[in-house]
Amino acid sequence: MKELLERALDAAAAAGASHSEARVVETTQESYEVKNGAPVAAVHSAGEGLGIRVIVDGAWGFAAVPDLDRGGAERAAQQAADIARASATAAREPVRLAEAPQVNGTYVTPHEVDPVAVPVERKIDLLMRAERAMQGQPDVRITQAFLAVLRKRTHFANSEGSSYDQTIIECGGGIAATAVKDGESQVRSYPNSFRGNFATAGFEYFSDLALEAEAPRVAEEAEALLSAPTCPAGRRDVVIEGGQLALQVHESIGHPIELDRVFGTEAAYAGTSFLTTDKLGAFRYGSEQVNVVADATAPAGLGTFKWDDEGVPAQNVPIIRAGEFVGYISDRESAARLGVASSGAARADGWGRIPLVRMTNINLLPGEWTLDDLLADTDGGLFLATNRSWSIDDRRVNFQFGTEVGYEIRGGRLGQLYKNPSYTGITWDFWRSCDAVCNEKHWKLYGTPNCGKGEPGQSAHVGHGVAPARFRNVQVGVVR
Amino acid sequence: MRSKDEALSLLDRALEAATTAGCDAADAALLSRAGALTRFANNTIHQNVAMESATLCLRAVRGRRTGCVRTGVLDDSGIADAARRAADIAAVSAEDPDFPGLVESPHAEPCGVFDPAAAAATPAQRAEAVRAIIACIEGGGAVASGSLSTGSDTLAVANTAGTRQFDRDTGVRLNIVAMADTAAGCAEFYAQRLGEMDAPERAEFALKKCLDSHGAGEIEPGEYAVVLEPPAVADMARFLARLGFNAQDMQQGRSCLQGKLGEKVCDERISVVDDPRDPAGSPFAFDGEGVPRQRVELLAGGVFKNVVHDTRSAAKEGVASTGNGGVPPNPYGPHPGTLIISPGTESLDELIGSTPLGLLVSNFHYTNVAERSTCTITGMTRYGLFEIVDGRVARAVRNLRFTQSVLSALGEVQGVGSARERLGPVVAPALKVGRFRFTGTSDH
Repeated sequence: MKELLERALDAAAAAGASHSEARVVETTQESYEVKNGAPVAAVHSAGEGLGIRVIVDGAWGFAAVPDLDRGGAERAAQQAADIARASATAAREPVRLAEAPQVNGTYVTPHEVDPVAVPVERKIDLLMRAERAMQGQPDVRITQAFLAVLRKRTHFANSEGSSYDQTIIECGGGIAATAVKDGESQVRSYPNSFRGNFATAGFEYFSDLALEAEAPRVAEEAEALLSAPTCPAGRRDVVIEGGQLALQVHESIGHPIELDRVFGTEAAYAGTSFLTTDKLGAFRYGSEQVNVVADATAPAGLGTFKWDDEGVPAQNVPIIRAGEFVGYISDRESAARLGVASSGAARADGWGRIPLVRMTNINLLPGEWTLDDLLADTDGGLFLATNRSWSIDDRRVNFQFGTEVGYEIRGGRLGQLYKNPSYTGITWDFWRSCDAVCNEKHWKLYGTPNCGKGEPGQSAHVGHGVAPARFRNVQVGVVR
Repeated sequence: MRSKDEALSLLDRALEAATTAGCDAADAALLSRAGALTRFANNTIHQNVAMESATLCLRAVRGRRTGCVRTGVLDDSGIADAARRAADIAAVSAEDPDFPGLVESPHAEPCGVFDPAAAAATPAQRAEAVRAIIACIEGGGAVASGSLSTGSDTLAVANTAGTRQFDRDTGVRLNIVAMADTAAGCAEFYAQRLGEMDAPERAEFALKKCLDSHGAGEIEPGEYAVVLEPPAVADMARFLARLGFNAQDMQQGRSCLQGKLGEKVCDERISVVDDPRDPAGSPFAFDGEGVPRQRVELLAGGVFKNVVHDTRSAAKEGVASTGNGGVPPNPYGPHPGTLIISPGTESLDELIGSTPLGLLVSNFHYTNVAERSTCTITGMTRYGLFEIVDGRVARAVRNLRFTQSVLSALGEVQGVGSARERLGPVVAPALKVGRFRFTGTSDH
């Protein structure tokens, strides 16, 4: 592949490129779903192709082809250069890139068991057993078990002499029970909603999820939700558990800190960010309990790698320190505009897409509390768990989330179950109301494998480490 | 891009390889795409890309066991490897008692619109259009962002029961946003033919919206009468389609229209049809299973008339698929391909003019399901929210969050616009709705 990449870079230079970077990406994915006793999806996917991004006349061009041969590489390079020349006709300032160290090397996600190599029959059997263990509740009409694995090998080279061969291995899955009665449906999931939880890890990660053992509880809770009262509206103290808090971090911290979004490059699609550059080092994002990093080095995080898709090494970057906003995530172009080094967050969705500023692992660092102590200290509050719905405005200010379950907190324990809980707020007010974060014992990484951004659309795999946390005086229960 | 003969020949080789690998039956789809997208922001082109791709989706069948492989490696060895792997997965998978088997579908006469000019549009052509957009918006004192994409798609489907289908189309999509401080206006355009695009007209529309929404004042959330412009109506319609018209959801008891077939579920001015051959939409002859797409009445005069089917949901009820399936496997079930909402008789000005007090909503943003059973959705307004007083647009106001049942809103319709816009797979008019629930505010 190295020769093919060099051929592409040479062709780009010959076409007038002042900078170029080429990636060959080979992807193997498997996706399984067992539903109501039968495997409804067992899919093996394989794809490969070459993408090359160039700067000609100070402007960007990119082209991608599935043909991994000399002709394909040369054709893509020429097409990218032609596109860049067209870009230059509507450019104001030449593209500038922040300096980046030259890197060379090989990386493979640490793992014990190659998930692609695990026999298909074993995968389906594990799902069938987990799915079967959810059956038996009278109104649970839909039972599902999911498994997904990914092996993505990227061969990278740029015109500055950097090159690498990086293989990312991912694995994960989950279960969901849907109870249905009189036109109403209620879903309960484990270990997270929307097909489960995911990590950069081998098959051991999926085995450790112990789906079959959790299945009866999941089904019972789905059944119980049908007869539970609707979560009452009002302002409440809430304790938010990991899966939901991960998405809260994702939407109201992870996206606003994307520096390309701050500079307006997503304005016509997902929007901009309230977090303008004048706020860097001068904005109280949250309470003193709120400490957040963007850590692409976190073991097993879904946003963990060795180098990003511009060849910049993975980093652990402070974002919020004791509530103060201190850093963005960036690529080389946006970082240059701010006069800083790239945070190593340029990530592309395969060979056919350009790198964009994407989250790595945006982690809320653990605090001091045990969950038992926190519940005991939150009498009359609500415990909200597992995302069901999400929405946030185009500057990442007003958000609204729904969760699968809510529980009244009484006497240090979870009491009355509520269905259809939801809560809403303003990003900075919400994070400033955080007065407790649970400790490392409760801290866990969640993987979001479907973070959407960009045109053409890209789906990124990102992570969020969180522990349950408490937020004071939150508006709850707005659906009805 | 492969021709019809090349695409079907490739599928024939894949089916033969699956049979050789020991399968009882197989179906295969070839999706090919060649597209390019020019993206602009801050009055400059900042991203500009092109991509070609082709993916073979092969499903191997052994009795009631199936295995699927998707591959972009389309030489003979890649196809043979895919067939072997699919056959191996099917061999060790468990039986699926609801697998409907494969049937021969009748030939679907291609109806996709293929415009050579759209397929062959160059980066220079796209840049020229973008420069005109930027000049218009910048000249009006605002900042231009957006994207212009051009390209072509082909889909070929075949199975061992004798189905052989091929269709192709082209697409042109233009999205323009004009921004000035936190004020913004948007214009969209979808078509199959490049020559139908009028970029300067769309730019003027976005600019006017932006300038009109400048200086937005505060407004309290609450219930308001609303005039929803077509992009907002299209957004609502997409959720109703997703939660209401899927036969699989109905069979599982969780459609938001559960038990209401044949009943009046919204105002009699609302009629919606999934019409794969309506030139106002995105004509295409067949679905991902190779079944010819049918015209399906979904809502007629406010009455819920039909759901849509794929082969799996249809077999459960002993009916024929309506041609709304995805490429297998598709565990999500059937989905309407196009939503054509019937127009009314009133202009947008007349809808506004008959509103004593209310809000004019340009677009929704980041809408999501809040509660399935009532088709309640939540999202924000975007690209211009205006207060209507005494039948006139009185002032721009800050964006609001809404949390609203789509069915309830459609039950409160008081007027339907005569003009319609094509917005992706939806063709929508403006609607006037008597009561619409806004539940939160933002800072812009």
